[in-house]
Amino acid sequence: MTRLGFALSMIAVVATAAWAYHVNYRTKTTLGQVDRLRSQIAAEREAVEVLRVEWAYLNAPARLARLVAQHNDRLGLEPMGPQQFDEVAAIPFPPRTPGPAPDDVAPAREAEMVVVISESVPPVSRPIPMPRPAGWRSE
Amino acid sequence: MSDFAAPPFRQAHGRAQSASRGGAATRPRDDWRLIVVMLALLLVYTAVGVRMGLMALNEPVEPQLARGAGMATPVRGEIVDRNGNLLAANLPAFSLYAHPREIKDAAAVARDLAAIFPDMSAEQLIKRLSRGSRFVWIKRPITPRQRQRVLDLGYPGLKFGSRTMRIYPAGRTVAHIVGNVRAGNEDVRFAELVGAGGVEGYFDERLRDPARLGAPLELSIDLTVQAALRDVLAAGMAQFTAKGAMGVLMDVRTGELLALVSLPDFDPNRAPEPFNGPPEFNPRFNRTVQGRYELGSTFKVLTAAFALESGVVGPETLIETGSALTYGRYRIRDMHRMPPEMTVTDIVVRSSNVGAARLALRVGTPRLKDYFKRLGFFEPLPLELAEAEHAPPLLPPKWTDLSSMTISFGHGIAVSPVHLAAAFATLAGGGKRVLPTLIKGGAEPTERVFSPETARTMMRIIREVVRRGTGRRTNLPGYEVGGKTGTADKVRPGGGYYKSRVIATFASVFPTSNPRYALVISLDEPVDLSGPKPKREASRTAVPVTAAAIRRIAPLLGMRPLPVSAPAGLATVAAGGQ
Repeated sequence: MTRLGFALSMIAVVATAAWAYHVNYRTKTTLGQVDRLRSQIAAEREAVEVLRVEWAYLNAPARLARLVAQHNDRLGLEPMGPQQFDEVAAIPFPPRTPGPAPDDVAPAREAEMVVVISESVPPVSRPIPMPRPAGWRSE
Repeated sequence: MSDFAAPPFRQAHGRAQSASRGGAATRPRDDWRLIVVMLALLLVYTAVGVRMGLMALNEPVEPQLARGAGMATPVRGEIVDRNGNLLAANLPAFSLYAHPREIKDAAAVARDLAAIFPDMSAEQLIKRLSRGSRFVWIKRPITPRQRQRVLDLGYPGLKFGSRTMRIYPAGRTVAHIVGNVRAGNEDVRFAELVGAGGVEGYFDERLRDPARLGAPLELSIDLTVQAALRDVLAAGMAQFTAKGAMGVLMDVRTGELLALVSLPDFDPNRAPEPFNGPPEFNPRFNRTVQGRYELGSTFKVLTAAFALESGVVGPETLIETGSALTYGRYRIRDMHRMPPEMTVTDIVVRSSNVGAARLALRVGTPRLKDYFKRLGFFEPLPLELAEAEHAPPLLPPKWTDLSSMTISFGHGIAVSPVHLAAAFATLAGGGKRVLPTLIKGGAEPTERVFSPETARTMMRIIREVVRRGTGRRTNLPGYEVGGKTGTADKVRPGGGYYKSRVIATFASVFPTSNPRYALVISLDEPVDLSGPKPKREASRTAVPVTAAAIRRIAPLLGMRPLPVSAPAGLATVAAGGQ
């Protein structure tokens, strides 16, 4: 009985030692991995940092303006000006066709908009802008 | 005695002992000794065993800080504009140094290094490398690419340290605002960056505070607007062959500066170049803050506002303007013939010196001084730039009635363009003193200088200046620009004024019905040569530049022009309401 107990405890000791040894080495490997990952993260962060600066540099207004000026024969860009704003009210809508008129105005009423209607619509001499205001139904 | 007697030694021995001494009384003492020895041995062997086990299991590891965790945190906080665009950031870089004793062929090393760094000469490098010292700096900072080229040379004795490089991606556009840094304490591995000018200088401690490195410093500047204003001013400067130009754009509600341009400017990414010449022409001189100018007739707006505020006149009060005003041996005259009497509104619109001087006299010197003081014209700008506090306004040493009279039309007092912009913003914002700031958010003004009534009246008056006075060229449809021109002869360094050198200024507010922005634009020595005679007046120089600036800036600020009138040929029909 004592011998059996002794043998069992010896086995237990050896098993525990082996387990501890194994865990210890696994921990060390993991720590090493953590270290590697940390430095990798740091390197990535540094790269992100550099890229952010590069992005800011490449997008600096002065640089973009220079590039636009260089290639403007093909781009045809110009600075935004007050003339590029307009009132919805000033856009000529397609002429009202004799038809179900009330239906046409209904959406506008909902939006409480000011609709401008051409007083004297010339016979369509140039294409009238066709994109319609949101909610416009022709039926 | 045979050897066979050995195993039962104890017994034999015992027997012998007992035989000799005759008793078992001594046996427990023997056991005790043995046990002690055994225990001691066991202890020693256990200790050795445990130690061996531990050594086998754990290799000693040097204690170290979490590796890598600290590498990516910036050494100095970043600076961004109001929309988060980077204005100042850090880049990893290197410093190059040498151990001259390890260098065999100094001439060859110097030649190859000079090829990599064009700003260094080979002779200079030879001298430095053959000095026989143990350590010399060669260049700092250098870029990673330059480092690679030096590594490719493969010479021993050339070494690198790590550095952080401060970089300004927006370059010249914001040069005067961000300022720059210089290297402070440094060694091979590390260098301190110390702010030296601009926001970098003013906020040096905050930018270096380790607790706030992660949070960028947000400025009120809008990079796009700043770039647009700089563009327009540069074009205006070229058109009118001006020596310098400055522009200040301020939000009248918060005092936030959206753009602050001083031309000529410099590239903050380069080391300062030596400049010999008058300091105010140095590109590093920030005209908008450090420059103090007599801003001429723009001050008439302030004089009129003080007069209205003090209650001595109303906007339609008639003031005598027909004859020159004599004070002691001085005579104050107008450039052009003026009607004998004009209303306060017309004094501003037609820019009468005599009228302004009479208004100043009516207000009285002590009250006038008090108003200027309350507007902050007696103190340096409370602006977050290192240069601001060293540039207090230039006031007359002794403020007499004559001073009041000349100051009423902007002579005898020199302030920075930002001072003037803040004063206009105060009027535009409803009368509470607006404090200029470069920090996003600004502050709600609290200290009342003018009544809302005066502020509204003044907006009407400066709108008149643009409608029918000297500011007509800024009458952009839909933006309701109001403003006042000022053409001031420049002060000669020796005393007196130059005949044909002026500072042309246009201080404006838009839109006047619901003011949002104050814009001050000044040109240094502009001249319009397009006509038969050279013109220097602000109405021919600063005003067209302001018009171009507002045309560019207002859309960028998201301001749509107010509809001026219904388009021709269209009738407005109310649909929806009644």
